Order: sequence, then structure tokens, then C-alpha cells
Amino acid sequence: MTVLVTETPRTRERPLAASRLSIASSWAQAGPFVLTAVGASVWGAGALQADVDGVTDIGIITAMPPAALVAPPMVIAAFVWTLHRGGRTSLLGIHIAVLISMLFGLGAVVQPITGFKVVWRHAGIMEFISRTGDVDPFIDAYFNWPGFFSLGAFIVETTGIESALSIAEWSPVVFNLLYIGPLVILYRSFTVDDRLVWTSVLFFALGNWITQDYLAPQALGYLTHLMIGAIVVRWFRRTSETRGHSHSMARIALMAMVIGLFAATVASHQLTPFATAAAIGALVLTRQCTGRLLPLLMGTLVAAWVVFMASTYLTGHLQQLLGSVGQVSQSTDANFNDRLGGSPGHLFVVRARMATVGAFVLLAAVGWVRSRRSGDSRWPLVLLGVAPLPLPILQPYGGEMLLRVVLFALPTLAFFAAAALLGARPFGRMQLSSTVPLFVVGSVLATAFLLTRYGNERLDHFTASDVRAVEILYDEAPTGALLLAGVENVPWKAQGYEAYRYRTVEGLLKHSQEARSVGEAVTWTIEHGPPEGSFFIVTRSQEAWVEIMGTLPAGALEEAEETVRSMPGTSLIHTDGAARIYAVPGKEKP
Amino acid sequence: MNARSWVPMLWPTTVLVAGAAAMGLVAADVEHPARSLIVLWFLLVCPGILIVRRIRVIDTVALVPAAVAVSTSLEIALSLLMVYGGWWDPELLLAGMVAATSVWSTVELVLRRPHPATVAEVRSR
Repeated sequence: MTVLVTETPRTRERPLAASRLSIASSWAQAGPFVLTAVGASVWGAGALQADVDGVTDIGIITAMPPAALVAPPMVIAAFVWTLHRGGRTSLLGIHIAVLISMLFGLGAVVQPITGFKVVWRHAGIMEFISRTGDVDPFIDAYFNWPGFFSLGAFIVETTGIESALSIAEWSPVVFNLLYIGPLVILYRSFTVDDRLVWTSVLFFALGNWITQDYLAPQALGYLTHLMIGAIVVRWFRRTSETRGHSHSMARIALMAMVIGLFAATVASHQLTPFATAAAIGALVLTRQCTGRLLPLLMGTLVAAWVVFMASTYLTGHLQQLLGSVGQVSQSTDANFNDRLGGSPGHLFVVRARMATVGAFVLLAAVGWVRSRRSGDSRWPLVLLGVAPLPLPILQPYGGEMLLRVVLFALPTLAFFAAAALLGARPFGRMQLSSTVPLFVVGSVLATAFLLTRYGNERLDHFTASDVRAVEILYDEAPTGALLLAGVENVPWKAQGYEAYRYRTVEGLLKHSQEARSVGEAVTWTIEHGPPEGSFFIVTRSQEAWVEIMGTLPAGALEEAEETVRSMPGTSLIHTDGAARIYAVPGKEKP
Repeated sequence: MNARSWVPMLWPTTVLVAGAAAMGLVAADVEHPARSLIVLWFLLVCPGILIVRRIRVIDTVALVPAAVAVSTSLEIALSLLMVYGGWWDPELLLAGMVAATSVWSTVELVLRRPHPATVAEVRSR
């Protein structure tokens, strides 16, 4: 009897309980992806509604609808949820890919016109190679390291696109998605816990506000740098695991791949090969790498390129290059002090960036200490991050070296920062004490990303007025004419790279031998200009640059415009309120 | 031949199709966004994927990034040779790359000897 009484309800409840369990299980599996999809939709809608005119000195964050700001934390929550659930950790990569598309694609959605003056210049170099099939090393440094640009010209020609600008907007998304691959190889060399691997990749993405992933040689160079570092650490590390496979065909192929990737980088970018060689050199010196001749080969390749292929640049700039070696104060000024200027909004952005880097360093230090306590110092990873640190002592690199050093250290910082939050125990059950801080830190970083990454958006983006003015400039100015702007922040040089003399008032003042006023510098330059005439262009982008960065004295742009306007024969050939172009006839040379 | 045995043949087939489509679109001078996407895919991924798949030890998630790094490095070398050699002809270079990758892919397909599975593929089985 008892059996019958107890069995009947069980048999009735079992399907119901199983069904509830099944629903709960399905929701637990699908929930994070639903959350990510909702987050991405909210973000996309917010980006489409963003008020471009609302971009201020602290960047794009003021133009975004407040509701959209919950979207990145939603994706972080989905990531943490998946992490907490356990199971297939590779699913974590989906959340990261979506987050990368959201964060790095924001600029392309909000500002459909390609931003960054440098991207326009790069497109112009590709256009030059595409048009002439040649490189002229006398034009500037880019033509002495033309690898990336010849590749770009090849792609532009064969894809049939009008210009490299057509694909430039989405470069940050593509490059950051590509960086995931080598990072996973690298991190799996130091842990068997895939949760730590993917959390490190997430932190890398959240920390990569440095904006070196636009259409540029350094973006591709960084991919090869990561790939080389990952391959060397994973398959050429001096550990008992790798010794047994020292003669395998795979290792020979991998070494050939490392050398090939490095050679292509040497031909494409001045700085990246030094960072890569420094990192690999540090591994070899500390006996962490079996490829003992690799640094020597890398050094030889760099030296050979500089001596034989970039000799034109070298002979013209040897003093400049060698003169800055060891000039710590000069480098500090260029990389640090000079950046702490500009409008209050810009200063706020700069401080937010410094705070982010500081937070990463602090977290990474905690992670490294925890890692050491668990018996693994992960020295090769530390060396990869630390090796490029002396580079600012060798070269200020136009005040950008410190940023690049942070970029090269980022994979290391991201790993140890993730380790600080996750702990060192692999495969242990995720506790709330780990998941909550991870969600909080991730959400803060993802939201701060809007400030750190897009803080300069007001000066980085170009409006239709800026672009239209430059188009008119090229239509009106004959080949050989002098094109003068207040500062370099103009969407020019995407065509006629070598066909005009480009000058800026900022450059005239900076490179002038004797102290001259803005008026004197502009008058002298135009009066000694080419017979084809001179053209002075003022755009919103220049005014924003001067206002935010403060690289010209107050009123200098207006003084330059007034000087040009008062010169004999000057005519205003274009104005739309925001942009103006003046033409000054040239003097026939006797 | 079961479904899994087709997996190693997916990439050679993709490369073959992408190469043929890219060359056809360029030869016919088609002005359409599809041309840009197909040619870009071919140039960035296809030559490299044939090489990195043979290395076998690279993680699945890193195959495409490694392929892009190898493809672009190869194309940087070849395009620089053209520029410094004074015979800039992008269409000829594309044709050469399509021919080389097609031969490689065809050999893989005809021999029907798919490469031994990568570590990640074995793990996923």
C-alpha cells in the first residue's frame, strides 16, 4: 500500500519536475546570449540616435542617449553569467566578439565620415602607389617603410573600391577581433583555465583605448607582434614540454612563419620591429626561449632594411634620431608633460586615461603577486610586457612612445588583472566573491571606454563641411600650389600626396629658426610660395583642434586668416560658414 | 564518406571558390560591393589559411587571425617586389595568387588526403 501511495505522486511529478528543470537549464544556457543580444540592440539603437552635434570636449559620451550606456554592462553581465555557469568556455568568446563590435564599431556608426587625419594621409600614400606603381623615398618617412601601403594599394586596385577610406571605418573592429587569436594562443601557454584565458581577452579589449587599430601599419604590425610573441612563448619556450618536439616539422614551419611575419613588419613600420625584437631578446637573454639566434636575425633584418631600403630617410634624419637617444627629459616632455594641456574637458579625458592605465597596473600587480604565491610567476609573460619599456628613452616618437609602450604591455597587464579577479585556482567553482568584482570592474571599464577611447571625438571626426572644403581645395588648386592650414587636423592628402606643398601655421611656428609672429610667418611663406599660387583653408576640425589641444596660441588661427585675407589679390573662393578657402595668386619667378 | 570527413575539405573548397569568384569579378571589372567583399576575403584569408592549416598545432580560434597575418605578410613581400622591381601590375599578382592557391587546393582535394586533424579538432570530437 505504502509503495503504491508513494509511487503514484512521484510518477506524476517526475515529468513536471524534469520539464521545469529543462526550462531552467535552457534559460541558463540561452539567457546570457539573450542578454548580450538585447545589450547589442540597445547599443545599436543608441548609436543610431546619437546626436553628433552633442559631442563635446569629453567626447562621444555626451552624444549618446543615457539608456544606451547600460548596454556594455549588460554584455559584461552576460559574460560573467556564462563564466559562473561553467560549461563550454569557448562560448565566452561570443560575448567578447559582440562587445568588441559594439565598442570599436561605435565611431563608424555615429560618425559615418572617416575620422583621423592620419587615415586620410595613409589613403593618400596608397593612392600614390596605386597611381604611379612606385615609391618616392624623398617625400617622407612613410615611403621608406612602404610595405603596408603597397599592400593597401594592391587591395584598393583589385577590390575596385574608390579609396582605402571606404574600408577604413571598420578597421578597429576587424583588427581587435583578429587580436583575439594570438592572445588565446599566448594565454593558453600560461594557464589551463580557459576562464582566465577569455577573461584576459576581455580585459585586453576593455583596455585597448589607445587607438592604434585604425587603418595603419602599426595596427597590422601589432597583429604580427602578438602572433610572433604567442608562437615563440607557446612553442619555443624552454620547458620540458617543448624539448621533446625540438625537431618536429611543425616547429620548423612555425619558425619560418615567425621570420616571415617579422620581415613583413620590418618593411612596414619603424617602431613595431624594435618592440618585437626587444620582447624576444628579453626571452632569449633570460633563457626562456629556445630560438637563441632569433634576436640576432631580427636585428640583422632591421639593420639591413634601415641601411639599404630606408637610407634616404636615415641620411636626412640621422642627427634627429641619434640626438634623442638617452634624452629622458625631452622624451618625458613629449610623452607626458605636453599631453597634459588643452581644454578642461580634454584634461579630464587625459586623466581618465591615466587612471585606467593606473588601475590596470595596480590590478595586474595584485594578480602577479597572487600568481607567484600559487607557485607560477609566469616570467615569459612579464618579460613580453616589460621589454618594450625602455623604448621611450631611445625615442620620444613624436610624443606617442608612452602610449605605444602601454599598448605593448597591455596583453600582460590584461592577463594579470584578470588573474587578480579570478584567482589562481583552475577549474574551481566560481564564487560570488569573484563574479561580483569581475562584473563591477568590467562594467566600469566598459563604460569608461567611451571616455578613454572616444574622448577626442570632437577633433578626431570630420564633418561633411570639412570634407567638402577639401574637395573644393583640390578642384581649385593647380598642381604645385602651396596648401596652407592652421593645424594638421584636415581631411587632406588622400589625393595629390606629392602634387602640392602642404604647410600648417603650427608647423611654421614650430620649425621657424627665429621667433616670428603668426602674421609674419604666414606672409613670408605665401610671398615665397610657388608661382602656382597659395591656398589657405580653415575648417571646423582645425578650430576644434586648436580649442581642445591648445597647440596654437589663442587667436592665432584668426590672426592667420586675417593676414591671408589682407594680402593683395586674395579672394575667398569657398565659404559655408564652418569652412573657408582663400586663394592668393603666386608671383612669377624672375 | 561521413559528414566529418568532409570537414578538412571545406577550406580548400572555400579557397578554390573564392579564388575563382575573385578572379572572375576582377577580370570582368564588375563594380559591385560583392566584388570588394569576395576579393578582400580571398586576399586576407585564403593564401594564409592553406599554410597555417598545414602547421596543425595552431588553435582553431587563432586559425583565421594567423591566416590573415600570413596572407598580408606574403602580399606585402610580393607587392613590394612589384613596386621596387618597377612592374606594378596588381591584377597579374592577383591572378598569380589565385593560380597558386587553386593548384594547392586542387591537389588537396584530388588526393583526398585531408591533413591530420588539428589538436583542437581532435578535442572537439
